[in-house]
Amino acid sequence: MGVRIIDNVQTYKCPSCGGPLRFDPNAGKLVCDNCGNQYDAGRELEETDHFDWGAYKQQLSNEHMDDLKVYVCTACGAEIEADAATAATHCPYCDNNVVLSDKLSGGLKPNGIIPFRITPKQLPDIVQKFYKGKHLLPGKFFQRSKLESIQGVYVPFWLYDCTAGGGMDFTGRVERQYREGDYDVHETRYYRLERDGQMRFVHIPVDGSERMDDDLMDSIEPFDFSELRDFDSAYLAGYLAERFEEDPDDCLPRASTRLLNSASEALRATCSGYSSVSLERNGMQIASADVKYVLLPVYVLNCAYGGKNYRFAVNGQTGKLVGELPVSRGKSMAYFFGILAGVGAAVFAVLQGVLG
Amino acid sequence: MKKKLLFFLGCALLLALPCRAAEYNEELWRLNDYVELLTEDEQYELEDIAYGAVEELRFDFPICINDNYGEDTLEEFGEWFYERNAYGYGDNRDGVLLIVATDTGEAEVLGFGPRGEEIFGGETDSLRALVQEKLAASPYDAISDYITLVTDLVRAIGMREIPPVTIPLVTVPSEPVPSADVGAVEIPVQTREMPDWYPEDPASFVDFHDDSAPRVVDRADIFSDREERAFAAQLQALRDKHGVDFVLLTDDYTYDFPRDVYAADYYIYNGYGTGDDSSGMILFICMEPGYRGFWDGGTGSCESLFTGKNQDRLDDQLYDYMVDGEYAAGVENYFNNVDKLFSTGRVPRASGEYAKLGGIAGVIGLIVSAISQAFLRSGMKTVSVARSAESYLEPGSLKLTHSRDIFLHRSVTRTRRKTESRSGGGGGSSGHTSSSSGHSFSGGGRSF
Repeated sequence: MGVRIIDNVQTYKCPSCGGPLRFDPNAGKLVCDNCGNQYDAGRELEETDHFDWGAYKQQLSNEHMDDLKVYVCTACGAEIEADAATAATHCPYCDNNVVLSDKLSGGLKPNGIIPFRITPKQLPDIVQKFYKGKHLLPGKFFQRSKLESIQGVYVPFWLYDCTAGGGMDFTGRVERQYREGDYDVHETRYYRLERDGQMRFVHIPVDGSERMDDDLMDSIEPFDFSELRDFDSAYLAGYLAERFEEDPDDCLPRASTRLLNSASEALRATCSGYSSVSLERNGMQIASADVKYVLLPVYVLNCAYGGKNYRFAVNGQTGKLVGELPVSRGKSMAYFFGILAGVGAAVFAVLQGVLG
Repeated sequence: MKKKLLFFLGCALLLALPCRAAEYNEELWRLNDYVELLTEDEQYELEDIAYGAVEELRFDFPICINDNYGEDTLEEFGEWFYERNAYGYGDNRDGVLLIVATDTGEAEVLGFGPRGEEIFGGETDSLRALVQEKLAASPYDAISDYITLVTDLVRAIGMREIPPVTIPLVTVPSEPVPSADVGAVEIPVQTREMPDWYPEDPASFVDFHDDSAPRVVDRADIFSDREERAFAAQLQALRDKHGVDFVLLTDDYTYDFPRDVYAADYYIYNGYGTGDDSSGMILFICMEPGYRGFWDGGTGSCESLFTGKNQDRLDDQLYDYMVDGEYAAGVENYFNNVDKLFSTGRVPRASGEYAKLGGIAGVIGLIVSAISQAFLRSGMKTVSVARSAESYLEPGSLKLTHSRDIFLHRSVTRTRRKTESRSGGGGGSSGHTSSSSGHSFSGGGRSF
C-alpha cells in the first residue's frame, strides 16, 4: 500500500467570516453556521466534459484503488488520510468540510448529482414512522440522539440508458370445458405466439460502491431523476462522498438482468386472451447501452442489537427508509402463542355453536 | 383347440399393446382442420380412417388445414409442425404430412423418417394435384381420396419389409335367425319379486297395529340370540318410557328397494307404531352385498326428532361402529342415544368429538398464528435485490415489429359423468321418505 501526499483539496469557507460552509438541503444553498450568510451552489444539468467510461478505461491501468492517500487541509494545513474511494470528508482537526477534488474532477467528474433534500433532523421522524406497525421490534432499539448525528453520503451510481430488442416465442393455451352427452369434455387449444419488438429503458440505477450492500441500494429506489443537477462540488460540503469502486462493466449485469426481465414481461403482456402463456424461447438482447456517472444522496444507519449489526439506508431525496429490523424473541413468542390461544378458543367456540 | 387359439391370440395382443402404445402419440389428432373446412361428422369420419391407418400400417398420416401460414412456405411450416407436435411412428418417426392452405388453394405433401422419405421423398406432384383439384369442389372427397391413395402407397411400397401378420380366422357358429313368418311371439311379462310381508295390493292396505310382533327382526343374522334378547328388552323399555314404537330390522336383501323405502314399508306393513299416526322409529341395517348400509327414521310424532344435527350425530356415531363390524355395540349405543334424544331433544356428542373439535381449533389456530407470524416478520425486512426495471421503461417506447398467433393443435379429454345406480340411503343422505302406504318418515343413513 503506497502513501502519496496530495494538496488537491477544496474547502468551503465563508467569505465573510471564514467559518465552514455546508450545503443546506432546505435552502438549496451553501450556508455559514457562524454568520448565517448563504451562497448559491450548482446549476441545471448540462452536457460538459464529464465522465466518459470509454476514455477513462484507457487510463484505468494507472489507478490504484487500494492506495491510502494523504491530503493537506487548505484551512488549517493539517494532513488528512483518506482511502481511494473517499471523495468528501471532514478535517479531523479544524472540522472544515473538505472535498478531495482529484476524485471528482477532470475525467472523473460525475455527469450529475441529486442534492440532499432530507436533513438529518428529519431522520428521527422518518425512523419513527418506519417503526410504526412493527410489533416485533425490541423496545430499546430506537435511539433518537444517535440518529440526529448521522451523516449523509453521496453514493456513486451508474445510470444505464438501454434499448432492448429481439424476439420471443410463447405457447398460449385456451382451455374450455363443456358437457357432451354423458361426458365432461375438457378441450385445450394450443397456439404458437411469436413476438418481436424493441423498447427503451432510461436511468436504470446501479450503485458503483463496494461498501454499500446491493440489495440496500436497490431497495431505496426510486429517485426522481428530474432533479438531477450538473455536478458541483459545493453540494458535497457537509456530507461524505465516495467515488466509484465498481466500474460500469462490472455493474452492467445487474442492470441487464433487471432490464431483460422487464422486457420479457412487456412482450408477454401483449399475449392476451389466453388461459395461460408459457415461454418457449427468449431472444431478447440489449441492442445499445449508454451510461452516466452520478452521485445520489443516501443516509446509512448502523444499529447494533443482540451482537448483530443492522444496517438501514434512507433515500436522501425522498426519505424512503429500508432495512432489516431485529425481531424481539419475547414479543415474537407472545404474539405466536397469543394468536394461537385466541384463534383456537374462538374457533372452538364457533365450532361448538355451529355443530350444536 | 379353439380355446387354445383364442388364448394365444389374447396373450399376443396383451403383449403387443403396451409396445404399440408407445410407438406414436395417440393423443394427437391426425386431422387438424383449423378453419372448419369439413363438417364435424366428416372430420370424425376421416380422423377415424387416418387413425386406423396409423395402427394398421405403422406409419403416421397427419393432415393440417389452415388458411394462413404467415411468412413460412408450406414446406417450412410442415417441417416445423411435424417436429413441434412430435408426429411420426416409431423411433424413426415415419409418416407423411399433408398441408392445405385454403387461402391459396395450395397443398404440400411431405414424407418424414426413412420410410416416409423413401415413399414420398421424390415427386409428389400427383398427390398435390389430386388434393388441389378436388379441394374447391368437395373438401371431403379431396382429403378422403388423398388418405386412400397414400395408405395404398404405403401398403404397396412401404410394407414390403414388414410382412403382414396373418391371423387365422375363428368362425363362430351363427344363431339361427327366426324367419318373419313364424307367427306372433308372445313376450312374457316379467313380474318383480317382492318380500313376503309386502301386501299384494298396497293401495288397499289399511293401517293396523300388531303389539305382539317382534321389535327386533334379525333377518341378516348379525346378532346372537342373547344380543337379540337384550335389544328386545331395551326397545320394550324405550316403548314403555316414551310411548312410541322402536324397531330394529336387519336384512340381507332389499328386493331392489332403496334402504329408506324398504325400512319405511317394513315398519308400516308389519303393523308397528302407536296411535293413529303409527308413531315410532325404525333402525334398518342392510347387509346386502354391494349395498351395505343403514337407515333410521321416525314417523308420526317422532318425525321431527330425526332431522338435522341430531340425525347426523346418530348416524355418525353408528357409522363408526358399523364400519368396524361392531354391530351389537353400535346398536346398543344407538338406542342409548335415541333414549337421550327422546328425553332431552338432543343427541350427545361422541366422547372423541370434543377432542376432535379441540384438535381442529388448535390446527386452525396454529395456521393463523404461523401466517400472522410470517406476515409480522416480513414487515421487519424491506430489503431485496431488484429483479425488475419496469418503472424505467420509457412510456410508449415498446414497438412490436412482428406479432403472430398460430393455431397448433388441440387436445380433448372426455370423462364419463358419474351416475347414481340406486337412490336413497346412500352415504350421508338425510331427508324425508314416503312409504308406499303413504306414511311419511324423516331420517337418514350411511353406506358402509
